[in-house]
Amino acid sequence: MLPRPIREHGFAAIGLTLLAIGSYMGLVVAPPEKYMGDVGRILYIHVPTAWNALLVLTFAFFFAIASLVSRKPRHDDLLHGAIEVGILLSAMLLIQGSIWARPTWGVFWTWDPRLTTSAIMLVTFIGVLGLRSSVDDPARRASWTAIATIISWTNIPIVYFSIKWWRTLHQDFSTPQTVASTMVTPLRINAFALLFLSLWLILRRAQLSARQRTRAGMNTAVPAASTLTAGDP
Amino acid sequence: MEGIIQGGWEYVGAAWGISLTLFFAYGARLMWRLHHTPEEGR
Repeated sequence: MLPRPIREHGFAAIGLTLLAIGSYMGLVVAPPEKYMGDVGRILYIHVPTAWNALLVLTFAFFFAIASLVSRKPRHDDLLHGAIEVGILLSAMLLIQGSIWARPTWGVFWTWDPRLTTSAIMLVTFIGVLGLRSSVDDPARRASWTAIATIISWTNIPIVYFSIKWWRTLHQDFSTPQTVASTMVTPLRINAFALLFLSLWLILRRAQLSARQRTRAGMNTAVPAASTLTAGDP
Repeated sequence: MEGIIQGGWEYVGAAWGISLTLFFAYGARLMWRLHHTPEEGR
């Protein structure tokens, strides 16, 4: 087995290294974009953030199903971590997009389908965390978080396909077919950088939840809500 | 090639700076909380 520091922080080390390389390539090596000039360099962080926001919230969807099926605290911890990191990435996504939109579209914000569905994504998952924090009972908290996550996740395919389903200002999917070859490499490197860093954050957040639960004396499988009061006088 | 939009590095700096600051601030706060929440028995 790998030493503990490598197990705990290996993803962070890989992610930071890739982010340094990808940022250098995106900000220094890559040429200015044909129409957007240097402003196009925002896309080297914006597109990887978008991919990872959708991916991490999809991880949350699978952790939610696992939590509902297994009722193991570990799955609830991972779900909590994925929701938090997904919210973080979604907030970054909207900030980057707004800053990019000002010089290219002339406005910070417009109610375009891609922008609107992305804003809904952020608000609904903040709502999931709000719901979670309002429930004291661990069993109910895990169940409600999982169910609310599954409901909120149904917006993710809508976010992804919104540029195909509606008339939109937003650019098409960023693929090797739609992006110049000189720009693909920094996009991919930064995408993997944010993926490794996001996985590290999810695991660390889950570790924090596990420690908090252990110290609170709740380190057992989440019981059905109805059994929690069975031993009460 | 310069592109149709001239300059714009202030937007590039703001977008990268704000988002990476948010990302690493979250990570730093998480590590701080982990450090101050020791494992059981430690």
